[in-house]
Amino acid sequence: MSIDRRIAPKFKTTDTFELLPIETFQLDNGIQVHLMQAGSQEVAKLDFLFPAGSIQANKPLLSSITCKGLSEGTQHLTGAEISEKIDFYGAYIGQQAQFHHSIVTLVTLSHFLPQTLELLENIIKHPTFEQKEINTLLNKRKQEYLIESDKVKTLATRAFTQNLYGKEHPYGNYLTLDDFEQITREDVIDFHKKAYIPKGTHIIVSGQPGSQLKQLLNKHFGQEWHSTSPLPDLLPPTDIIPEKDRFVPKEGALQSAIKMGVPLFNKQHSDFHGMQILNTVLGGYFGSRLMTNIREEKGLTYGISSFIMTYKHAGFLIISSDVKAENRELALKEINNELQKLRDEPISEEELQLVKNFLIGDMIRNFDGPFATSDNYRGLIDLNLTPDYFNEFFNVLIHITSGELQQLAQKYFKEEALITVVAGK
Amino acid sequence: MINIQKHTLSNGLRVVVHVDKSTPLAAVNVLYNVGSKNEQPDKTGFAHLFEHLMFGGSKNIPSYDAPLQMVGGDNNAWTNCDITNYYLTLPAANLETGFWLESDRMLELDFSEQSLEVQRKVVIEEFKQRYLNQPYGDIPLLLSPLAYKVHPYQWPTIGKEIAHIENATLDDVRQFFFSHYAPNNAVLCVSGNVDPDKVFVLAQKWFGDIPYRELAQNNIPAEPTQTEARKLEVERNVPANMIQKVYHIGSRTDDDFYTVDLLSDVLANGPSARLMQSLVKEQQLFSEVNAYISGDHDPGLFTVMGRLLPNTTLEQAEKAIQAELDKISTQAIGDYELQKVKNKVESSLVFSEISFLNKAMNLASFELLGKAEDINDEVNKYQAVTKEAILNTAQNTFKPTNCSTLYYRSSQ
Repeated sequence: MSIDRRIAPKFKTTDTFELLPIETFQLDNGIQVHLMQAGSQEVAKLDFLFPAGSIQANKPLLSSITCKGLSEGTQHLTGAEISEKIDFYGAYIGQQAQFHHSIVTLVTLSHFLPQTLELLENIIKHPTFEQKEINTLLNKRKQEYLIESDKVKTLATRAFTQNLYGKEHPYGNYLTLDDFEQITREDVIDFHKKAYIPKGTHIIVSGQPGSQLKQLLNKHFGQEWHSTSPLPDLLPPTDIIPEKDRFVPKEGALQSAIKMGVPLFNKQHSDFHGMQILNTVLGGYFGSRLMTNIREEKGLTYGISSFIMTYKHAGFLIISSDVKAENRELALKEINNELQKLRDEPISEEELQLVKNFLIGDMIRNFDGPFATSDNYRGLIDLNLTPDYFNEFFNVLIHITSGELQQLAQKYFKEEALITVVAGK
Repeated sequence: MINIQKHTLSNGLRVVVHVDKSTPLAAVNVLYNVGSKNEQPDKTGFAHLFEHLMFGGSKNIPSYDAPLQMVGGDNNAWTNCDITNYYLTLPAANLETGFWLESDRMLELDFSEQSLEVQRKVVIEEFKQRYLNQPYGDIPLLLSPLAYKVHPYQWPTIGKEIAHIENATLDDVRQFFFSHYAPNNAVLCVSGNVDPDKVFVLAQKWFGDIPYRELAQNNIPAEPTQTEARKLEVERNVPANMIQKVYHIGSRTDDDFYTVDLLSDVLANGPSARLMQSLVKEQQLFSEVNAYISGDHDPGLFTVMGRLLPNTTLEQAEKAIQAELDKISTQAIGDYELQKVKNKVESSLVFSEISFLNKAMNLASFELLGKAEDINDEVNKYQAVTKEAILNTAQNTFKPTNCSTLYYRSSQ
């Protein structure tokens, strides 16, 4: 049987979205637990979200050094002993400070959950933050900061966020070498005491943690170990008027990093879902307008993309690309052309259908299994959003029209709102 | 235990299927047995450039990406010194679209001057973005030719120099395609929510009539045993000094692969590993250290590297690394330490079996190197490693005459 290879096979689209069930319950002290129990491997992942982000710390580096320092020694175990135990159980503990939370992640074989949770309790409640360990962390972090400062991409990103949020607010990502000298052991101990507390803490569990989960969590984290309330959020300034164009020179750079964008809003805004879809058309997937024009037609760059960054109290859309200096003006011009096209012309039905189908597939990928689901669900905690948020997005995705998307482009991609930062030559 | 079903088509295409009903998706992974080691010394970077061209349209389908996106799919590819691997995921109900797209580009590319012209520029920008305009980015360009004098691993996958990419012609492209891209030089692996019988029917339908092709003769020269310590020192505008030491080891299919891998784990897998504890925590010489093996199909490299803290000299750093390597080459590791690295390998293998896409990639690799079923013996092979074997391997590997050292000095 000969086949006609020019004709695409028939395909199906789905108009339903199924989210794994998310069970929530409270520990004895009120800590909120969110459980996504599924998967064929006997593995569990637990994310502890403490109200210990940089926005609560209100001093550069404090939240990240505190978070990293947790596992460097406790009243009962040295840092080396902690590491030995984690590795012996074949487990993984990750620590990252974000703007609104510090997250401690445990990934473990389920049958080691009793041992690894005991270890985690020790790390979270009884760290000693020895000066030597703090120095080691600061030295490492300082070197990483300097290396990052050598990259045009990083220089442009920092300039972009400083432009929007200023140098005083954590959202601005402003850090100087002097900040590394300002962190004291007392700061760290004090911040730990005030921020690693039951109130405002969430635990997101995914995988197959076993039937003893609630009991184990209550045993190690269910008692009242501090009764204080979380530190207040430092709100971003509202009086900043960003510069329209910024250039950050970098001697000897072979490429210029472009960051172009517009200020937006957080996830709760009624236009947010629509903007996510518009962003996909613009630069959110491989077939996007920007990728097609600037990479696939003109070969100006290895990659160009756009995405929407949201925080609890703000958000923005940003377009990123690295191009050689000679191509910089052409790339900027073409990005502007693409934004103008979105304002001036409705998206064709064919393109809209393609983007919708791609995003439906993407939704299925992003929520495939307990671990992927928990990664996405984690982003809702800051704003106390329920999982229904994802169904709402799906509903907007299915129904949005090219007319509505054009209106969004006209509303938010205004020429006067665009901010352009270039770092390099 | 990973379930596996297999079938080979008459044109030589090996088809591997793994069923994972926990996902609504399916993965189609096509691995071609060609990498940068198959390039000519004056035309390097070609296998990777070619990977880009594989997305520029095929004989009967003008665009690869759009039809896949239309059915909710996504895709990507990567190239290394041995293989080029293409993968896509899509809702399982639309599996046939993946077969249609992948089979047409195996059948024949649309060799277009325009696509070549654009992708040459894209890859040159990639070369700059990842290797030249990035602190420490040029290390692979420096170390590969130091460690290899004869074998094509002497150039990294991105290529020796930008000029080689600039000079690629459409004739080169056509020749490369017909001498390496063939059903008899590929493995197709499908995983996810699929029915193996249906997969075999689809494989026959879409790939069955692609002709068997005579492949280029691969006369890849073996790297002779290194007999002298090699050293290279460069100065770059970076914030911190870095040291890298690379030692020749065996190939992925050698019996001692598992021993060498565990040796690297003892040194650097996890926060309790020796180099982290000794060099970063206790002696405070480095901000970061690592040790890993390449796992290449031909004899590869064992890399030990570290980024120095401001008060450490490169000479001090090398001495401290050497002391750790001497220790592991003279004193057998303890039973506890051996058990620890084995536990860690075992849990890593369990974690790696969560993703159906990951499984598809791994199964294709195992099938290429031997048979897909070998993936289920991995744990046992690691468990069988003894501390005596690790000691022996350390002694044989960490000889000064087997080593190439790079001092990457900061000019700041």
